[in-house]
Amino acid sequence: MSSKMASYCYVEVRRHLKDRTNRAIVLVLLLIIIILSLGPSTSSDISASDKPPKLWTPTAFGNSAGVTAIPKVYDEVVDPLRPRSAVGKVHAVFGEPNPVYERALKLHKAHADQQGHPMFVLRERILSGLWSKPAFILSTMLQELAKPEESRLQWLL
Amino acid sequence: MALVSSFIIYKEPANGHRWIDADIVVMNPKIPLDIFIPPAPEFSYVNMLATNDRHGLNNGCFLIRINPWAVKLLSAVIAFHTFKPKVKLQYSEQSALEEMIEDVRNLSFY
Repeated sequence: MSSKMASYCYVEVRRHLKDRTNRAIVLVLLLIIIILSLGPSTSSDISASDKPPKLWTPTAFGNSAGVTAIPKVYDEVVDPLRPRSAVGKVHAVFGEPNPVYERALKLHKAHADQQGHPMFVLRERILSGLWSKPAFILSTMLQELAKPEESRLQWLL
Repeated sequence: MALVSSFIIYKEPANGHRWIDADIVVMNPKIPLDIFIPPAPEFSYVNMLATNDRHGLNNGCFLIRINPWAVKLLSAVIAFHTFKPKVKLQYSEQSALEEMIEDVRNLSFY
């Protein structure tokens, strides 16, 4: 039954396509379908190129998830009325979340902001046991020593 | 001192009271840390300010000058167990720091 139907359709289409105007209509329709199917992909290419290229971000310091330097841009922003202190504060808070530690850290942040102490907070374990602490202090210290002498911190707490 | 290593009591409903190390709390944010820095040039030889308690050195809170001496001291602390595996460190890196400070004092290896 269905094969009979298909052969009937085929014959009918052939009969219609013999007409020139019909052929032209089918051609135009096909062209429109092809253009439409190409359209969205080209427009998505354009929108992708509009986005800024993925920038390289340092993973060891700054904006990485584990380490936060507060304030982040203290080297660039210098308030002449409140010069940056020569003493930096180094903290390590990681492991099981503890609201008491977070409140203590908030106090340190307020103090650091008020007195112009750059603050470095370690949020991930680096070494086992308590050894992350000297490791992070050393890391912060080397980071400072790699700067020109006049923009270095002098002490760490 | 502006920073006090302190303990905070908090209440646990069934177990009564428990001590929690806070661990360092700012008591007065109006005091800058700069006032604890040894004055130069008379005390330029001071590289570190730390406190002792009844167990010896307490490294819960200390000031350290940023210079090559401190870099070597801290690297030695981290490497302590590698080079002196037989030395028992009762308080982990705190004891390692104490041992290394003693070494610096005795051998003046810098």
